[in-house]
Amino acid sequence: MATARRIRGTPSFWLLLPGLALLAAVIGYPIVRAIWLSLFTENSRGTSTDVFAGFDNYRRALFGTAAHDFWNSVGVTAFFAVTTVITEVVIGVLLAFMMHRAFRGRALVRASILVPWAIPTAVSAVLWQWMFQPDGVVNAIIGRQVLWTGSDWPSRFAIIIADTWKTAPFISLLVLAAMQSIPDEVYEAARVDGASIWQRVWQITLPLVKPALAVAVLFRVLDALRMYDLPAILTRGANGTTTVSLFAYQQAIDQGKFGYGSALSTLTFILVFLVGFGFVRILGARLAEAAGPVAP
Amino acid sequence: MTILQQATTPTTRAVVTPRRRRRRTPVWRHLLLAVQIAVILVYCLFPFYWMVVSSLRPANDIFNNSLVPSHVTLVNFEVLFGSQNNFAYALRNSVIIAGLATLIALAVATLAAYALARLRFRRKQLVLGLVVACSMFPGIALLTPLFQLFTQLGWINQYQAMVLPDISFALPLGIYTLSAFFSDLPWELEEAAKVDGATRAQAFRKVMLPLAAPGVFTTAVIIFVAAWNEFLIASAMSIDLASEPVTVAIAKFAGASEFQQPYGTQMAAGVIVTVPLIAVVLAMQRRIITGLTAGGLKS
Amino acid sequence: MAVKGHRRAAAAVAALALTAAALAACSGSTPDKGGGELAIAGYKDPSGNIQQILDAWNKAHPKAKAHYVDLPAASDQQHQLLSQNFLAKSSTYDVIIADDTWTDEFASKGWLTPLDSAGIPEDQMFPSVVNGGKYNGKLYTVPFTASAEFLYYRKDLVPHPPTTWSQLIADCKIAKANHMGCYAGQFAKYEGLTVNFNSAVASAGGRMMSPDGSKVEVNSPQALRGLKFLTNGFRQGYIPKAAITYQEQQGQQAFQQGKLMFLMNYSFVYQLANTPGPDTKVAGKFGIAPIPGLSGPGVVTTGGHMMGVSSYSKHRADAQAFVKFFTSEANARQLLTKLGYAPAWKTLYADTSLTKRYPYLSVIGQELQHAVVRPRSKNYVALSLVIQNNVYAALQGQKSPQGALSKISAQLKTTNAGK
Repeated sequence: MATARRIRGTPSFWLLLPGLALLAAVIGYPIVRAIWLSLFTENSRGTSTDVFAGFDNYRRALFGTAAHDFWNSVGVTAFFAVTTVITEVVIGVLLAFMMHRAFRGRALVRASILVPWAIPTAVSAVLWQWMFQPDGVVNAIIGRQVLWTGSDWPSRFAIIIADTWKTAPFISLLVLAAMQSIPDEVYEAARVDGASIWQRVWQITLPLVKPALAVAVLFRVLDALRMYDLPAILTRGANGTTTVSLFAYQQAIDQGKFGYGSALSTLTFILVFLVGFGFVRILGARLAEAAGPVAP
Repeated sequence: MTILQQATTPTTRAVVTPRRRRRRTPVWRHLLLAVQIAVILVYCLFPFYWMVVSSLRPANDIFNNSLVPSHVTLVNFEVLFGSQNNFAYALRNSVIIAGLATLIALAVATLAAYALARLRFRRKQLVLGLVVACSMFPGIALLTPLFQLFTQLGWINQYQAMVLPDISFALPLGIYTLSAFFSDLPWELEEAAKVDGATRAQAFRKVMLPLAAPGVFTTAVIIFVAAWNEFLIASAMSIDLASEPVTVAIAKFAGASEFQQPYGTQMAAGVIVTVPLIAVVLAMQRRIITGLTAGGLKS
Repeated sequence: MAVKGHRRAAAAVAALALTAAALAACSGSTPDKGGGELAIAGYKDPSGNIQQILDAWNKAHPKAKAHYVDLPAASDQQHQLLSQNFLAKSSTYDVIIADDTWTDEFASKGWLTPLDSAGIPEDQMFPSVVNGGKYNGKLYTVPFTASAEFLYYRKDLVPHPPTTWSQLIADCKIAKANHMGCYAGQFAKYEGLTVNFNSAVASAGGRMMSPDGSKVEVNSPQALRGLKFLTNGFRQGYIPKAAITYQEQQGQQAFQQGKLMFLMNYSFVYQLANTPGPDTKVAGKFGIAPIPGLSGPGVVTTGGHMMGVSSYSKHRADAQAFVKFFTSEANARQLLTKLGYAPAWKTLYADTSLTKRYPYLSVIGQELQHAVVRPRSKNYVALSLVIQNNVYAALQGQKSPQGALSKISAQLKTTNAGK
């Protein structure tokens, strides 16, 4: 038990210090300032946000005349988060399984999987916008005149397609790395014991990639809930594709309503936090139990 | 015991792995594999192919939808690197910013992940929660306070104004990913190394890190790509080619008139920024595989 | 022992971090564009013609040299960047190039220096364009180009361009017979839609705000007729369905591919459509004319690129002199001949050598005589967003035209209440 006392404090403290310090300075400070700012509103000239307004901005966002727009954007964001993450995980895991087998040219196939994700969002959004034009290449290939950015459901599908294309590789990358950490002996032992392919996948592979997959899904959900680039460039938020981040951006940056915009961002943060909370509990518990015997 | 621990614990049972007679894989297996590969390649590469093809088309042919260009020209690349855009400077900036951010973030995240995955301390949940909470705030809300802070510090148009935010955005994901990989490693080997006289740091470096190599390199790639693709912070913090990365430079490309999108140049830029990334990842791939075999699993 | 090991590790990391920070605490070299004390911020000009004007200034003013700083191409990104810099009271930019609609916002927040004492010859420029740079009677931004859309029409199919909407709609049967779309402007949900809506309302004899800018007057029968011209287009089919995705470039493409008979667009289309090549089927087959309106020629929305001086600039006097130089008639002529920019100077439209070389010049000159600007507001971005959302919904058939106008009117009143 002397060991337990010695552990608590110094080693973990020093190990965590650089990371936590950086996060506090570069992200923590702006978050605190943003939340602080959300309690103020602009002065009459609009030159600075220093008129104390209490929770007025929040009231406006949640119950005011424009609350309809806010809740709309929440619904849109939730829709995108669910659809994109599910699609990405399914495709990503499938890709990982396909890449895991040894075959000639595997390295090249693996590298090509990363291409969608490596293209900067600015370029890929422009690329998709162009491909989705009424007389663009997508319509040319499928042979129909779909107004991808001109009507509701095609616009949503366009965003889902463009986002999934880009991020499924991210998931497959993490899952693949985890799959490759499983030594072959484990599979051999199972095969000798008579396990079928399906059993091997179900009882060996999936449980062992669960931590990596859980991390991937957590951060993808967080990203999806804060989606901004794609709707901003592909559809400009039209046709029911205005996400919460886009809405907050329009209010804060485009219109100079920093207090209100900060309130919207804080509300987004709370929503995302509620979603992420569940994940963290599961992950955190796993990490705590997996840290085996810890003599210093 | 987890399956992994079970597998790596030497048993006294003689495990017989008979040299089985070679079962010839049926033809349909090969076909299935070929179809799978084809699907992967088309899914991943078609938009990229379209980007490459578009970058090779001359300006007056750029809206042609045919899959193979009839006229191939390098003029878009010339414009990209010529005096109009001087893209090479932006590339240099991106390499420096993303490279520094990756190295530092990886080092910092490794330390933190080790503590989280390996050590037991109170309030671990709290730390995990704080770390992930930093990923939950919309980026745009952080922009203005950071911009004003860096303006006062005189850091505008300098690399650190972008490297530091990139590191901080990458840390939560890096820490979580590495923790997940570290927590999956068998601890008996580290114990064995310590029994042999190594300090904890040496045990980590010589035994665990090689085993965690796939995770570490994967995290490095993820952080690098994230820093490489970052736009919002960089567009505010950089003014000109002294420090602006490729994402900002691309956003500044202009067509012949204000109403025309410079598709050719943008697509050429897209090709140029993607190809080195692929090369880096291809190189990393070897390491991911050799990392496994170099690890101490052969007991 | 283990503790010391960790301390050493932490120290090593700290050292690494500091070294890296020291390396990062700098920036790279830039291609030498000749630094100078004046920073002119604007969209990138790939042709290098704007740089030539700067070179001429630098030669004449070696002690107050100017260099150009590129801003992102998208105007909302420009707006965001400029706002960020002004809010942080940064002295990075001395002279800025801005849309005319941002004048009210920037001027009211004290971000721009008044230019009345700079000696800009306002009376020689079109009032509709110059007024876009005025706020509370003072001049804050000066135009160096005036934008105005006009009508492109296929003269091989329609020998005489329509002068009223009913004539245009009647001509559409020719388009139908030739399997083409009839008419298009810019109808995607972006700033161009506000411009098109503004022009349609004005062309029907209505207006968005009262002349002094205090009352919202968009909910009128004239404005309704203007909006209906557009919504009927989609409903009855004389505007092709795909046009709901059109910005300027898409309309240009469609017209050049022979898919459109009438196009309302800017002057950049002229050269592109008329230069024979694989991307145009209409070279030599089209003419230009002022846009049609409800009962006669239409009224077009004008705006332009304006130049202003930042209040936080450290060289305000030099910056003002630069603005006067850049917006002079000589440079306006240069911008016209080299870049095709329509000038704000009235005198240039009377120059027959120019109007012969640039056929669209006389058309634009006609339109500028009675053009209108977009509604003025300190919250222009919010205002434009309201218009875009509601007009777009009306064009898609999700809102009735009257419903859209009522919504716009109500929301504009709340936005304006913040005036």
